[in-house]
Amino acid sequence: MHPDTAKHLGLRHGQLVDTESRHGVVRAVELLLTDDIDPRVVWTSDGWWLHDGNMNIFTQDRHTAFGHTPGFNSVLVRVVESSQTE
Amino acid sequence: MPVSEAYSACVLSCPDTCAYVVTVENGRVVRVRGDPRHPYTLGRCCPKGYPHVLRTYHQHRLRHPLSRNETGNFVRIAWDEALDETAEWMREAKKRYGPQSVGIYSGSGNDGMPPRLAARFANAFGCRMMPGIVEICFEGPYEGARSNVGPFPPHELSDCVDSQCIVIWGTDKFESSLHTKQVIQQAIDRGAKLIVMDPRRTPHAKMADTYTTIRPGTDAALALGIANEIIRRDLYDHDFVNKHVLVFEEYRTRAAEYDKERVSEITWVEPDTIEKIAVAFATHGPALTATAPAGMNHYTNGTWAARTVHSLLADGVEEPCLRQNASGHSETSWSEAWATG
Repeated sequence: MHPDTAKHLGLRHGQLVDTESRHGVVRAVELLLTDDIDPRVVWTSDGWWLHDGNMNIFTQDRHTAFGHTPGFNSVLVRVVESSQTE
Repeated sequence: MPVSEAYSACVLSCPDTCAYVVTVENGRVVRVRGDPRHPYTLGRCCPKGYPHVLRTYHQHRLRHPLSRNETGNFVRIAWDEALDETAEWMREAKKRYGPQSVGIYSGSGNDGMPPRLAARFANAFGCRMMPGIVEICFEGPYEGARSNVGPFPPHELSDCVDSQCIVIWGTDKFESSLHTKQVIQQAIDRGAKLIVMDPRRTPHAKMADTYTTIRPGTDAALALGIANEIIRRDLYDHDFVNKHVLVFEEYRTRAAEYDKERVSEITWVEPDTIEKIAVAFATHGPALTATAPAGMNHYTNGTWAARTVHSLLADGVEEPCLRQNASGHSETSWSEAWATG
């Protein structure tokens, strides 16, 4: 996440955040800040484990009109301070 | 101590498939290194590939089957038991619902022979084999490209060197494609312009002549906006269009709906930047577009994004390669590329 965005949302580098889309929520992922991302976009690593930011939780079941590709990179999300302290 | 060398390749599902020389001591792999005689990877491998030795012998590596018991925990079971149980489930499913009710999925990062053997097994059983990364990564962009240009062989990686305008569209070739990165650098050293579109400021973005962010999911609009600028300024290759492009008038009409102001609102790309990209792309060729089977194609409109980017071909200013490259239209690019090694 861009530092300006984090400031606007009251979030700090290194803190745990919950990220949710209309389809699901991933809790307690460590927030990393970088100037090298558009302030309107957040990026997450992908992985099986939830604390890696498993993006399958966020995506809808709808795929491309042909080619059956899921929309990993065009998901709207909200990022908030985590409700978990782990 | 008996030491021998064997030849193998990386199995981590990366299309580069680095060739390896594997050193074996007393039946145990002790070292993996790149094979410099492999013309594509030249003995240069990545930090994900070299630790195969550690991965192979890691204490946490699963070496036997597990079964989940009533309490939800996994417990070790014998191979015979695991195979019998799996066979019974498959047999039952086939009997009740037909062979297609069974799916075999290979995941990713474990390419090599096992998925091939699983595919053969699936054929014999009559069910589907889902190759790990194809349906989530490759199928969209391939279908998009195929719809425009039919099946096409990719360019040789070495063709990249001849490009004079490199567009890296939504992919990080610097950090995740070390062999492409090298030829891109050679092209830049020979005067190629570098254009990067990405919401992340990647290392290539920092080196670029033109860099722009882009709103995720809007790459198709940007491609149409670039096409519109090229056509509007009459920078396209008329001869190429007459000879090779079908329904160009319809394409022109559609692209005309995407003037740079409208495209800028959709994509977050500045109108001036759209213009600049279009002009460089059309006049500073041969151009190549490097996309990835992820990036712009991982939207629910991703296949159409691939189609619109490949439609830039219709302007006759580039040749595509789904994975990474394109260069001049003539065969001479081959010999030049080889000559520069």
